[in-house]
Amino acid sequence: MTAQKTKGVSPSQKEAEHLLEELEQFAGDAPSSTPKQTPDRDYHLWMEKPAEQDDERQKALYKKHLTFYLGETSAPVPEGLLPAGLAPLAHNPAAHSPFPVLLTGESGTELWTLDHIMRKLLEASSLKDEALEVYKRHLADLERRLLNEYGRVDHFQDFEEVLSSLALQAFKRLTSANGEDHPAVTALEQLSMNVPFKGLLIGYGPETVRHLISRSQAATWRKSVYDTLDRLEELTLSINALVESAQNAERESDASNTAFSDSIDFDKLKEVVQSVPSPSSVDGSRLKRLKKIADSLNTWHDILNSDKHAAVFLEKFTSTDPARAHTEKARREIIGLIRDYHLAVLEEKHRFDAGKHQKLFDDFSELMMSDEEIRLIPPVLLFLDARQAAEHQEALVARMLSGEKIKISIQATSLLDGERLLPLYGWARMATALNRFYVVQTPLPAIRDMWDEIRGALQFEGAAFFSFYTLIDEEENAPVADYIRCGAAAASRVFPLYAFNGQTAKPLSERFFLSPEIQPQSLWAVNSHTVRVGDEHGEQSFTFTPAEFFYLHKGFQTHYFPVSREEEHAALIPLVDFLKDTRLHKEHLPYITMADGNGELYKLLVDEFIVDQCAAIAADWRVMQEWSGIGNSWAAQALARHKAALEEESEAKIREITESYEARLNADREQLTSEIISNLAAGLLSDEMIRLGSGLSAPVAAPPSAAPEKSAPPQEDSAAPESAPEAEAEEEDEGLSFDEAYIDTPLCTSCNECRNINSDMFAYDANKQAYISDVNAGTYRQLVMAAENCPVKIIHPGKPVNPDEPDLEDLIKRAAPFNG
Amino acid sequence: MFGVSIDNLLNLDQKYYQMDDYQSDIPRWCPGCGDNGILTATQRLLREEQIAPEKTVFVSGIGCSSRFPHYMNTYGFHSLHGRALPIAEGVKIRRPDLHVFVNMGDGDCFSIGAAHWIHALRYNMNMVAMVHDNNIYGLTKKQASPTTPKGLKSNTTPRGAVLEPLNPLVTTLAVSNVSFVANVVEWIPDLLFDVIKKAFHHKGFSFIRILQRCPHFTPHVFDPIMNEPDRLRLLTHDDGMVIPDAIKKIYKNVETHDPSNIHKAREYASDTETIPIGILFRDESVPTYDDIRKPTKPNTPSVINEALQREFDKFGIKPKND
Repeated sequence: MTAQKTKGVSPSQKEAEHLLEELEQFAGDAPSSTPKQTPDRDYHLWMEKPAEQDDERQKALYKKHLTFYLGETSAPVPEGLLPAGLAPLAHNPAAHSPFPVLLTGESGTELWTLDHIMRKLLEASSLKDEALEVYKRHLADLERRLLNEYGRVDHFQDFEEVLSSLALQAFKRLTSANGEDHPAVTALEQLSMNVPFKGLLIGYGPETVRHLISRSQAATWRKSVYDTLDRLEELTLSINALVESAQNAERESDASNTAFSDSIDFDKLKEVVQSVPSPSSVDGSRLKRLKKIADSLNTWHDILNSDKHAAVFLEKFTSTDPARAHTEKARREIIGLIRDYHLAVLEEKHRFDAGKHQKLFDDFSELMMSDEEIRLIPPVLLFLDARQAAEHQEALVARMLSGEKIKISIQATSLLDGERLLPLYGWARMATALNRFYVVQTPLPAIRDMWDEIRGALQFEGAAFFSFYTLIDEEENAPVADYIRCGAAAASRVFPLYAFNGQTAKPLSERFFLSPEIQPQSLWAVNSHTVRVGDEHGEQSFTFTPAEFFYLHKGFQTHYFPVSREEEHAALIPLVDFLKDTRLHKEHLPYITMADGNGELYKLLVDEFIVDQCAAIAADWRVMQEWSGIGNSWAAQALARHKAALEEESEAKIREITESYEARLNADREQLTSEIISNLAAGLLSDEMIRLGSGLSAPVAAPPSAAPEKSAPPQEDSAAPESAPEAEAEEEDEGLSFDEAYIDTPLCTSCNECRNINSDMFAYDANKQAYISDVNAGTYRQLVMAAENCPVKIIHPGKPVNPDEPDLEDLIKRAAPFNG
Repeated sequence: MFGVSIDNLLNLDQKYYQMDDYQSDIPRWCPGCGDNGILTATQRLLREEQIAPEKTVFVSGIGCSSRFPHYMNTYGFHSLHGRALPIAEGVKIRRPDLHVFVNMGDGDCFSIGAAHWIHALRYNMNMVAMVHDNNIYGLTKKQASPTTPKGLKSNTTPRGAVLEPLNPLVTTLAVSNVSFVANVVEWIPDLLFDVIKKAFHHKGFSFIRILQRCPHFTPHVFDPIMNEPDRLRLLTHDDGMVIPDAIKKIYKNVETHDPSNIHKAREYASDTETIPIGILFRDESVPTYDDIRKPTKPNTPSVINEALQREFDKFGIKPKND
């Protein structure tokens, strides 16, 4: 800034300078929300090198610390300590709460954080270069004011209104001192008049979740009503028009549409209709009916035309009281809407016939609605806080087990009570175990990360369960901002961000979603920071365990014991290592690393109580990891089994190969031996030997013995073909049998000749072609006559069923040509 | 499935038509008459397409075949000798929503109705015309018709017919605007049904000549054809009619013929040795007269109903103070 001043170039830059100064003055006036931020501008972690200790002193220190570990002594913890992994974040002036958030987008389905809003506003301004920089500064101020004034307001505001009034104030303030038109000032003026997007500004508070969920649910529901009853809008208009035209009937005596007037004499028709004695009672009823439908549709039209009205309509059914009355009412009203919709469809087409349809619509119930229409019945939204849930525990459990389509949201404003961890996440775990629920668990500040999952749960057709943690700190001067503590609950695995999809058809690992925000792959979340040790700088990573999270809660601070730098000794190990291996428990003590307001690192000894809590939470977290498919022990086991099986198989193969190789080797060796022997023998028994006339035959006796073996199989083969033709011949005989009477039905020309002879014996099939329905229903004579009369010659009489019929021989002769 | 759609409930009274729903009377044709087969095939078509009887009209002229409308439980018009086609055209132009079928005999269509036949082909209105060709005037007890073979003795030609018979297929294929010509015999029910179905789905004038046995007067004409399966030349094509394998086993003379090829169709039609069976010619692109001269005031029920309802709405609902 000063550099620019010395250069002092363009007038616009000067002006910008001026504006910036203005702005800084102005910002200085505003009360700062985090007063301790100022001294910590460049916060960094550091520590001195630990002092060396001799053995005896080490033993004494170990004993001292062990008494604390076992809960026999305690000591106050110094003020202002923060977990080392968290401290740089907590002292970072740039970090701020994501609240207020903006619920916007088509039908209120997108959730924008403050950063997102500001980015969009900057884009909308279309300024460039230094003008943009100036505008950015203005917006930073607006952002700060939004944060301060609306960050903790838990009822929603119209974003457009809020922003334009803030922008107007800023604009007025700037113009009172400087009347000239700087582009950034003009942009600000424009902003005060015309906010580029709409939505609802929602701050952080106990009601935030309720607003977000019920609004989003209303938008979803409204859309589904319009998608399913796609003609609703058009129908409403046309029914209104119908009522209108009916009421104006008297005045409009002329047929407005004369296209058909020459086909039908409408004047005559009118006379006829008017001459009928008293039609008014019937006609009155139609008008009444039409008016009723029109009223109903108009009411619904109003409800469905804005998210606000729809939310109010749905809000009727939200209740902290787990009773059924509200659900029933909603159900009845939606059924009424669908009935009126169908009535309107009929009336519009003039298809409504009182005699035929009146009763149907009188008894209209869910049974007559299609699946899609049944889906329109809005789910019950049940908002409870953790205390209420505990009070109504039995009723709530009964409700969850009942299997109805219910969306339950439980919100805790505190996870820790005194020295106790509240079993809040137990609810979410229970809903998950019930399997049908779509479960989403998130601390409120992280709701943006889980927004897709929340939308999924709201659109999910079955039951859903939301578990929220909205920290409302009642302690004065909490060392860390609420939103950081909420996030810490998620990162420390005490309240992990997760979602569980209720669609039971999917595999478990696809259904279970652990947010990548909390490093789901590892056991604990790890943060790395630069640490100066003596004069050297180095990266050091800090794990974030429940012990760090518990420390942020005052009630738990008695479980921590400060270790001064002089008292450090070799038996102290990080808590993470201590948890990993229970064998270390004998000779070691766990500590966690903390940082004070100046960034100096301290060690805090942790007692047995905290260690037990951490171990329990770690075990729970392992289960969650397995559900989401991370480090799946079943898969590992299956893999090990498979590997063992494969190894065994390959070993067996190796053994087999070795054996066969050895066998072959032995065989070759024997053959070779015998060859050598025979060669030797042949050599030895050469001419001289023969001449000696010993008569010894050479030991080559193998070939003659092999011959008969080879000739044996062909003998078996030759036996087989002899039996085969016999079997085939038998089969053919069966196929050629003409003993039974039959008709080539597909060729029948339906001339009825056979049925005229005996309609019991012959019948028509569905295509009106004849077949023999009962061969015993008539005589063989009739069968033969039918065959002779059939013009297409498709009746085959076969052989007579009854051998006692007269003149059988003659008949068989007559039947012969039709059996061929 | 939980709920039943309201639309389904409202349509509960919609009927599924059986074969018997299209049958009104017991046919009084001679025993073994081929007309029975044509009647059955037509009824089967209506059942397969689930056409409401009240949406169907059968128009006929005079003759054995023209008793057809009496046996159909639909609208029917047993009209004048040779005048079935103009009446059918009148029905179609005023009531385009109806399905029109015309049943004529060979004498009816090719002799006294010949002029109408030619012009009906040229007009190409959307209907199915079936000519029951038994080569004789049967109802009036055996007089020679235009298709009676040369030499056949009849009451009008006691020394045998002197003229060569008319070839209706060649004639039909020569008329301009012809769009669908098929030839089939009634004693192969599956082929008959298939041809009528193809004709029904063709948009335009579908002309089917059906060789129909007359067991009383012309058995000696048709029995030889029946007993010699190879005299029938079955035309098959993926684009026309596909002959089932079961039929190919009996009728082995099967040839592939593309129904869009009119020259080949004429060649098959004029062959005197064999009888072509199947779709000879089909052209979907020929414009129909009902499209060209679309009636400005069709009398369809929906139009009438709409107009009536509009008027009734004016009278029907009276304000209370009246």
